[in-house]
Amino acid sequence: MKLGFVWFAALSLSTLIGQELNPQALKQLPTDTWPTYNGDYSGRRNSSLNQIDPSNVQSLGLQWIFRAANSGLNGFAGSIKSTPLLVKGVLYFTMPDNVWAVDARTGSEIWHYKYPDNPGVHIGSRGVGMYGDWLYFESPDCNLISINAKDGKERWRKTIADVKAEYFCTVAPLIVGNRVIVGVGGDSLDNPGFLEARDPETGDVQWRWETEPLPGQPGSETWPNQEAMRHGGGMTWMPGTYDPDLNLLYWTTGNPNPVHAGDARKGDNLWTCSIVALNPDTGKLVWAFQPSPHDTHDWDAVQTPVLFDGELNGQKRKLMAQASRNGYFFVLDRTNGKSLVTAPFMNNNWSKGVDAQGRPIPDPSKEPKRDGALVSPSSNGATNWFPPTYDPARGLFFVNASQNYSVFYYTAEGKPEGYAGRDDFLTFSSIIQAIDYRTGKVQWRHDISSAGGMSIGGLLSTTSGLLFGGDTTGNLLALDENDGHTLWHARVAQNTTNGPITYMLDGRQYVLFGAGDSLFAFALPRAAANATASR
Amino acid sequence: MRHHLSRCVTLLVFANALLHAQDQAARAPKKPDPVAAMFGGPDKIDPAAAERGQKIFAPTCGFCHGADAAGKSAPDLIRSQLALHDEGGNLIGPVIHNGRAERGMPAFPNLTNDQIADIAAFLKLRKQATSNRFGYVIQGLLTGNAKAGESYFNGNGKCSTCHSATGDLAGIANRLEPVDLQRRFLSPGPSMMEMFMGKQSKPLPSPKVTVHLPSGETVSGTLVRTDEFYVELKDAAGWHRSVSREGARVEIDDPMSFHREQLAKYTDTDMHNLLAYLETLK
Repeated sequence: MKLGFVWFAALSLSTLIGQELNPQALKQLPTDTWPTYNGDYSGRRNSSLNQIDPSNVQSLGLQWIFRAANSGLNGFAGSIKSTPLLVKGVLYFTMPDNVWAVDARTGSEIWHYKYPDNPGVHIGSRGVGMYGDWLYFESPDCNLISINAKDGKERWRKTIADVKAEYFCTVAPLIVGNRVIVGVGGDSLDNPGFLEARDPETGDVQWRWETEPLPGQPGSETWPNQEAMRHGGGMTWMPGTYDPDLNLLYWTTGNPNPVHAGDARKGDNLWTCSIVALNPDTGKLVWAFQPSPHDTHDWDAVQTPVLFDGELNGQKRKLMAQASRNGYFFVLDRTNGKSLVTAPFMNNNWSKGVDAQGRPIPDPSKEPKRDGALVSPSSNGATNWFPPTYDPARGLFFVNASQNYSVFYYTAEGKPEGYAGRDDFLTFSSIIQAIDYRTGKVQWRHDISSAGGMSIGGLLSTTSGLLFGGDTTGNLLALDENDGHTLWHARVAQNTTNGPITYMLDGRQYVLFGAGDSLFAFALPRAAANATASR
Repeated sequence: MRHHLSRCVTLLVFANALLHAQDQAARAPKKPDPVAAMFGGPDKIDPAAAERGQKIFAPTCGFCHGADAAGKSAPDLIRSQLALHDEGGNLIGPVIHNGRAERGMPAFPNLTNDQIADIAAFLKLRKQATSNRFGYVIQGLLTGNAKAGESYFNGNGKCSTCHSATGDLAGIANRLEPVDLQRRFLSPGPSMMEMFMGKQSKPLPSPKVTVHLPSGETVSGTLVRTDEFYVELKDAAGWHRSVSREGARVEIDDPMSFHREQLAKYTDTDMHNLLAYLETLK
């Protein structure tokens, strides 16, 4: 029975041909496919599809649910944090150790790939990358695995990093040209971070960029010594973005190590907690900007560096914006990394202001202490990995933000290593915020945690004026982008755990949410969808 | 010297805590551990072997590698590639037996394979104590001034509005460790870690809710759940009721809201002084 099903599925897909990523086409979101983690290379997660709009969104109806109950995981580990790819009517998404292919029309499972048990940390998986007929997946124990998109069969696996040294991998690889860009994670044993380009056919290394500079290189002056630099952390946790015209790959790095022990690594600790622009052909650093100099609070600066063009101070510019985990919103000139706007989007008590380069100035009295330092935000941050979205039609940047507190303790006895401290989260909250990129000012706030708790859900915007997300009580939401009021909701009793996506299939616009262990696909009733086609 | 000793003692406390936890875990009935499911279970280490290993390591290797194996004149062995990949001494054994003359490391040909396996177990334990932050011990919190804390309790902190040192808080310091006491006065209720672990703790008093419906009717009771669309409550007669928020005015009286608002007001000195005062309530 099972075999028969697989055979049928394979047959129905046999007409598919290889899919090429056209860099120019991916400067903005395609409408009939979602071929990268962010849908396109810009990271905007903004769709021009307008079949669903503020006037008819109330009619959205559930089309199907796919429950990924066969993951072998449960709880937080067993929820869908990946953004699915949609390619030729098939959705590809992941959890740690697991990849699924699901029919986007029906919600039927086409195949399920299960990676063997392994000791890597199973905190999350952001998804897969796709090149031709091949999927690329990073396992918790840091293998890069090439999987046949047709049948879920593994082609090869290549080691990216050493799980015994406490590396673990969560990134959705990003395809740029004939390169599979892979990042790494792992904070607990003072490993150096790095980013690699791998050959899509063989998995071999094409180039490698190290987060920490070598002695004598620019940035090395921000570390006390070579030993500290070699164990300085700076993980490449999240997929980056890419500008095909500038041919610059933008990637982000995590906190320095030892995590809570600033005295062990006096200085800014470059290029940790940084946004870096790399040449995608060579992996060479072109410019860098550091949202969190000398971080001691685990505030990875790995939130999506979102690319858009816009006017600022009367000049049309190529911009990049990040709402960073430390609570600051940054706008940079993406040609050179120069700061244009720095503004807090949440109240914080750790910074003494902003320096001439547009970077917050950390207050040493708020570094972790043996008797505790009460700090806002917590190590979980004013936001985290969850995808933000930017709508060019309104010049608004939307982020799932959090006002929260934590007590940071320094705990190391003797030489600080690993985390060297802990923090004790005190409160949570989740608030969807709209930020005007020109000023960094928050235009509106919509509390999605009226009953407490914290949302890890990402956001999606459409130029028709809809913002999709979810709250902390199991509601999926569509908000009006202009003022944040709720236009539609559906209680699915699981909180959103990924960034929603949208695409056109058979003349209907779908919105797909990941919440807990399930995918929920919504669309307008067919008659309503047909009606919009003729208007 | 004194410093060195205290380090060793703390190290032992760490080691014992870890071993104890493993021992407990091994005996406990099989229940999915959410932390282990996500972060991976602890390495399997024989506690007796690690303890023997420490006793061999400290006098034999500690002079150069540090008694805690974190490195001194010789490299840190906690994050040494060789030690991380070692299984029962298979990789470190030859190095210990033969030394590394080119790097100035002497040979220790007389250590038996069993002794080397014990050293390997000790190094695994040290690596685990470093990488597993959930095992870190938070201590040394009592730095504040109890007298100033008492003034804060009765003054700016407004704690005495709801609490009494001789009433509900009498003996509080006997019931909670300093770290738990500090967290609970900052933010009452279970911590994130406790919730994550599924640990049962005393629930907070439920907020009271009153909903003024557009019809003019008023519904009130104990809040069960709310979102931006509905309020669910238990009324005075004990019945569950749910009402739409559309057009309604909702008043929620949450006794914990004061604690949340106070978070933005504490200085670290207030926090430390208040803890010092509460610690006197024995």
